[in-house]
Amino acid sequence: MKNIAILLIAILGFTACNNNDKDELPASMEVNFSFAHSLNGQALELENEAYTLPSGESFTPRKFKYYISNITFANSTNNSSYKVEDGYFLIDQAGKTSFSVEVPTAAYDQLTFYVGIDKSRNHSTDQVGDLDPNNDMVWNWNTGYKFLVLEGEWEYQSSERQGLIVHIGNNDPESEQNFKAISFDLEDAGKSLGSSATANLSFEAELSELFINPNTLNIHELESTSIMGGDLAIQIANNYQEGLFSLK
Amino acid sequence: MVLVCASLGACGNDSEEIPQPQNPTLTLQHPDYFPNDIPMPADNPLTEKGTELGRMLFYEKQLSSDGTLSCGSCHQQSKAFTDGLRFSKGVNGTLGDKNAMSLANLHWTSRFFWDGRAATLEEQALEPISDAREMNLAIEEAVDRLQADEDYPERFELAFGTDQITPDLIGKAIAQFMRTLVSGDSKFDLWIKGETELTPTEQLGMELFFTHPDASLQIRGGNCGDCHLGFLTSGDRNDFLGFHNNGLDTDENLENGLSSITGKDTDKGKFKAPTLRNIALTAPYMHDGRFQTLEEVLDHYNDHVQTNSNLDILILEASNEAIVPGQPVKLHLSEEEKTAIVAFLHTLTDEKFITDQRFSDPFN
Repeated sequence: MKNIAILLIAILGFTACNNNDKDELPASMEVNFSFAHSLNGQALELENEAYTLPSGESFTPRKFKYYISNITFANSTNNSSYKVEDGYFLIDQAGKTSFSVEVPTAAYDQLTFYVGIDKSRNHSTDQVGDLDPNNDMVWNWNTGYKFLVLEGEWEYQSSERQGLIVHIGNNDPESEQNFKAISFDLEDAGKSLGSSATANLSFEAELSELFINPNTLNIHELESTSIMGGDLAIQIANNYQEGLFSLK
Repeated sequence: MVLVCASLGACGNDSEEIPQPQNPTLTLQHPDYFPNDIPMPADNPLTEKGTELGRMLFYEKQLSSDGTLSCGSCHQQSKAFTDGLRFSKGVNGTLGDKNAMSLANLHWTSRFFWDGRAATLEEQALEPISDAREMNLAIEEAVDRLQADEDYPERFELAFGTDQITPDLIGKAIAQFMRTLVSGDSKFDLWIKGETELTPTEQLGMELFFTHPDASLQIRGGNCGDCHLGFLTSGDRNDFLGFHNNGLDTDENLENGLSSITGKDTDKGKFKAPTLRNIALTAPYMHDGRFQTLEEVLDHYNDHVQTNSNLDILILEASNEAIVPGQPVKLHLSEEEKTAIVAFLHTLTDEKFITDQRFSDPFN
């Protein structure tokens, strides 16, 4: 018994305190996600600076946050994949902009994550991950969560203040229309996983992309700049699927 | 096996504070749908003796210059820790200029006072003692009085391991007691847990409360939940995002509010969005207690929002009818809808909270 105890000390002491061994990787890798936000190429700051939107308005942001979920790592050679279960992460310009996940050690060259919340979780109040219903991302009791929120003030050729309120969730409770998958080729980015115990994936979100490509929204020409559903929400969701995020 | 544990312990993060057997650490009891991820301040864990002491200090009239007032004088349990007055009376009848805030679920809020000037509850707890318009007692004098008391030094010893009383320890004890003021047993809570039904009017009110209106999509809403978030119905905890300009006044009459803390003109007229838990018990309303009834509050948001340069965009952009730029902002709720929202607000009343013996005056 005494010997077993000593042996355990040796093993536990080694695995628990030493992460630097290159030859033998631990059974799981830690993958760190971090998100930086910019608007028109400038680093985003809330309630401070005015930025220029693609359609020319001066815009002062005050809130920008969104959910990342359903993260899947894949290996395109052997078609294996690993999905992070119960992984719901709120990225908030005013709060947390990074998170880590544990992934079984293997080679992965593809990554997919979603913006938003899948249907099965969208109407539950389980506090899995960052799905705390008190954190300003529950829309109302019928529609579930907001997936992406951008709020701020804009002016265009006058000093009349107007609000831009972008709350994108599912347009109706039955669809997953605005829940969007975004995929990255890790190998192309030189970020293939599997060769070290920790990996860092740094993403940048350029907010202009919410309003261009493939759908162009001219803010000052819109009938209403509260965008909380309807066709405009779908257009913006398609925009965030295409090119909002880039892997640096 | 003891050795194994010790070895593992060496790799652990921070060393846990060893609780003194005579002063057990307490876990804050709260509904499981309140956020679970907000830690206690590392330098002020909740303890049995700290909370007990804090309760005594909260109701201790020696902490006012003339011995007539305690925190509990203006924060009365029966009124969800308010006093029913527009402005509270300090010693010698001096009037303040802000409405006494309700105290509930303070662990889940950040920045205290209407203008957010206190970053922590510990800091907040001390200010009314020395404020000339409130208890008007220099904090050093408060320390001296408690130190000279035959009972308190020993209570500080039990709570904090020293009988040398300091302003810091007074703030910590009162803050501990205030954190235990958890209100989570209202009709709304029973509904969340599936233990009761709301009436159709209350149900309509709840849906309106939590919905931002969008006339173009025929979504009707009362727009309350944009600032009074989630189950707690309190403001955003991040930075100063829980502070809003809700259109009480025009530019000429804007009070400083948050701008007196941040120095930013764009923060003029912004005040803390308080919890609406027990709101039916805490009249009058707003930072200056200008509205006597919830109906008046609803009328304000529906019809009388004053346009000013800092008016919150979530109000600026909220209407149940198409918004005409340049026209005053109106919600356009019907009378029935306003009544429904008020009915929902009444479901936030927690009778157990206002009669809980643990929160009452220990000197009575």
